[in-house]
Amino acid sequence: MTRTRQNVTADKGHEIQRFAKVLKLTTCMILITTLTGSANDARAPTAEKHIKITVSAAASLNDVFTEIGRRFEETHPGVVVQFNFLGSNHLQRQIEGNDGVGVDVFACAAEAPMDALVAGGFVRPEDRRLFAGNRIALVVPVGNPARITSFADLADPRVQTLAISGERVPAGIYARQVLEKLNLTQTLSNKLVNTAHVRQALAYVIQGEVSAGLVYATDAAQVADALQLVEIADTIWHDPIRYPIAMLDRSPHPDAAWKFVDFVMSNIATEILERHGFRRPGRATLSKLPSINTGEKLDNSDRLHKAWIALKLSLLAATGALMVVFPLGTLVGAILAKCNFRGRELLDSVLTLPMVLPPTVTGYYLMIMLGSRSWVGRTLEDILGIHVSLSLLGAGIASGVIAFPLMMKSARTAFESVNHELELASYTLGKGRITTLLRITLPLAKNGLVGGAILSFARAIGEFGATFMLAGMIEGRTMTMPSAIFNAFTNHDDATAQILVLVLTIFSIGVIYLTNRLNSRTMDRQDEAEL
Amino acid sequence: MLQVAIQKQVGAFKLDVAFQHEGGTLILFGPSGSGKTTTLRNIAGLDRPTSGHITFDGEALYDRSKRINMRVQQRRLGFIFQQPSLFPHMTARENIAYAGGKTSDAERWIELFGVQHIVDQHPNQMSGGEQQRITIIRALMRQPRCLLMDEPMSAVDAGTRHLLLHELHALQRETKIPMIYVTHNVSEAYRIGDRVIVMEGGRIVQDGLPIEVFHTPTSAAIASLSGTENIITGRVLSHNAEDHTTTIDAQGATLHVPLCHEKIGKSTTLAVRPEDILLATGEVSGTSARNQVAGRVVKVRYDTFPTVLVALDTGLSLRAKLTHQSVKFLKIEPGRRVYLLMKTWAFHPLDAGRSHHHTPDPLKDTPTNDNAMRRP
Repeated sequence: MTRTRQNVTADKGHEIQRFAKVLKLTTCMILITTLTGSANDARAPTAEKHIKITVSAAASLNDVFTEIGRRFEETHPGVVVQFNFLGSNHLQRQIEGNDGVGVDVFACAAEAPMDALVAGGFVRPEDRRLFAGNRIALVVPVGNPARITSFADLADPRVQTLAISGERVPAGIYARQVLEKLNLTQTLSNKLVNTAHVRQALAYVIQGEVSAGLVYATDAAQVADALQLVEIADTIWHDPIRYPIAMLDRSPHPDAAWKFVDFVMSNIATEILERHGFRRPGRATLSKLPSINTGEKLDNSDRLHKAWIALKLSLLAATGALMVVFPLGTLVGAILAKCNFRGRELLDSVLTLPMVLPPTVTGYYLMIMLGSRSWVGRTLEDILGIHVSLSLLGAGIASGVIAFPLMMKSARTAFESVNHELELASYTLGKGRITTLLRITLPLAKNGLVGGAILSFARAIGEFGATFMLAGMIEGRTMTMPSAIFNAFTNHDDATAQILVLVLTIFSIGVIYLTNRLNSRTMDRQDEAEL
Repeated sequence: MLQVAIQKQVGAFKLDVAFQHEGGTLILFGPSGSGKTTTLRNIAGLDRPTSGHITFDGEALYDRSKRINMRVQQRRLGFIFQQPSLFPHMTARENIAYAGGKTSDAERWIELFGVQHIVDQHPNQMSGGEQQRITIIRALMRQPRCLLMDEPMSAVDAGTRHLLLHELHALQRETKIPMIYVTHNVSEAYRIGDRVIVMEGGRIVQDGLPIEVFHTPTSAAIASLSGTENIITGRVLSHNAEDHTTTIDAQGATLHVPLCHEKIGKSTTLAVRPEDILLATGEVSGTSARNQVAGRVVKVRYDTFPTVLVALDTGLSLRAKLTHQSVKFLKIEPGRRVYLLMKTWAFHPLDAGRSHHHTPDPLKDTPTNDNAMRRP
């Protein structure tokens, strides 16, 4: 209760307030600068200047298309290519679920997904091209712990787990055909480790998490020193692996999209493809691994640049989310704390759902409610030209919805923890309820509210599940930090992953620390006041 | 004038009170749970009765039959809570300013209560007594037509309590604002009360002057409450300034008590706790207790500890608290002749505020004599 202590706590309080202000200011600035930038782009789809096209491509095309994309940008200034690498079936669903909007070019690892899109009217049959082929390879971790020397060895009980893409992913389909042909399906049925796409299976093998994996020969070639190739499957053991590519009928940049497809079919691209181990269909298929040299590799400045972009996107989405979540959460929290009405707790529970439900469930609901197929989504697109799914706005909305309950609950607790007698005292002094709320309750709840803001901001930054479903993982557009980590992991890019992980960890620790300090300050102050 | 006639049902508890209050300080006295705080809060508008009416100077604050329930904000009744309700994020000055009113008034009150040195502090830097003073000033800024106080001394240390009661009493006399003061403490009631309403189980059981109520309590509960004190009224016989003692005649018994203000011939009221009275089966010599009076045991009440009621030969009755062992050992039983031994300092005065012995402005004066009267 001495003067010194008061000054110290007051200083700490100012310190925290200052930090919060700086944080808000910085993120505001980032928001403004980048938002104005991207807003311009979004509103001028047909202008030649600085067009962005989105290419959804199978995961196995990650490295080769990245290189092709860079070359394409060099030869076509004014066009920027943003890639969306996932399993082909996933990409197909994204396009279908979005009514064919938001993607310009689609390249997949099997005919079936393309067939489906043609049937759905999203791709014109005449726009379709076959640009590459591939082989299936059996790979094992370095050291080969299960001592596998051939496909036949997979029957051996030494094999504990086999990484394989999911049943609908082309790589998974081909791999299962191989197993079926070799009568290995039964033996391996409970040893299969299903992954979302082939690069994830590859990652498991590299990390030694599984005894062996079935991936594309091109994947194996990319990381030849990180695993061991055992055998390449005979082409008669599976359907011919053909990679089709096509532009989407509803592409907002048909000209640029067409040029990209054309480029992929060109001789320049052929060279790049072959270097990565892909052969043009019709040419002799390879029976052994191509050489390791895959041309350019990522250097550190590239890595940092990617990390910086992911960070920026994360900050943008989270800040945007916070700007809505903070006032809304405070308001709802105040209502729940102050007004006693029937069904109050029920309302509280319903609004808390997004925090409690698995994020992917929330993402699913958001997709249904706001995706391009929904009434809301369609209206927004038609009237305002706003695209929710597969956009940063969608990422912001997803993080906002997930973070809202945190803010609301923090606000409610903050308001409830204000000594009610102080509010009554204010009434006896002739002050109305609103005046009391603004001049007494709000200032006293301030610390709790700031704590809530910090927590929900952190939650928004870290949001992955719902964001992934609603906004996808498009590099440069919606690949926020958590998605970038997942992406780096599946691409065996440890360095990028580590940078991002470090940043996020430090950030989270900072958040916990700040919140604790704020909480203890609130308790101190109330204890002291009560003597 | 405040007129109250309300009923309130909360679960099994039923409150049913009716009284009027015009001027001065009314004490609502009773044990915890008697309904005194509930009554006060209902008058203030912080709580709503089930039925009845409350009017102030003819204006209805609450009337069930006419469906009137004036909001707290409009009743213009000051309320002082048990725990100081200063806003922690504001300084004392800001707290006072929050209530509105003229700055000149604020300055006057601040000076009157002697709190200039803390006006720029925050509540967590002040003592309980200082906080309550600021709370009172804040309430006064609204020029309330009545001050309602709910055990305001709860958060105030014993030393300051004495001073603050004194200030409150003087405040009431000066501003003439009627006060309703809730407490379960007899000395507080004595110090500032002009009238005492005793409540028990949600009803009024006694209503009268403090001396009537505590001297001749009509309920067992009150007797046990005020029974923590023996209240003695006596006539001042002489003062011994050097020794700091006064000799009084209490219904025939000559007692030596701490020095008091009252002039010779005037009456003074003191209390002595049963714990501080010793019993002896015969006259004792060589003891420091200046008071030794003879009497007969009337009855012994056995509770957690035994209380012995003794009627002095001279007429006064006093209660002494013993242990079971002592009662057995001394064979204390009704009819037994005993001597009561009491130290001078075991007595403490109950009506310090009523003296006008020295300067006419009691708020400005620090009553040093009062300090001498307190037990060491």
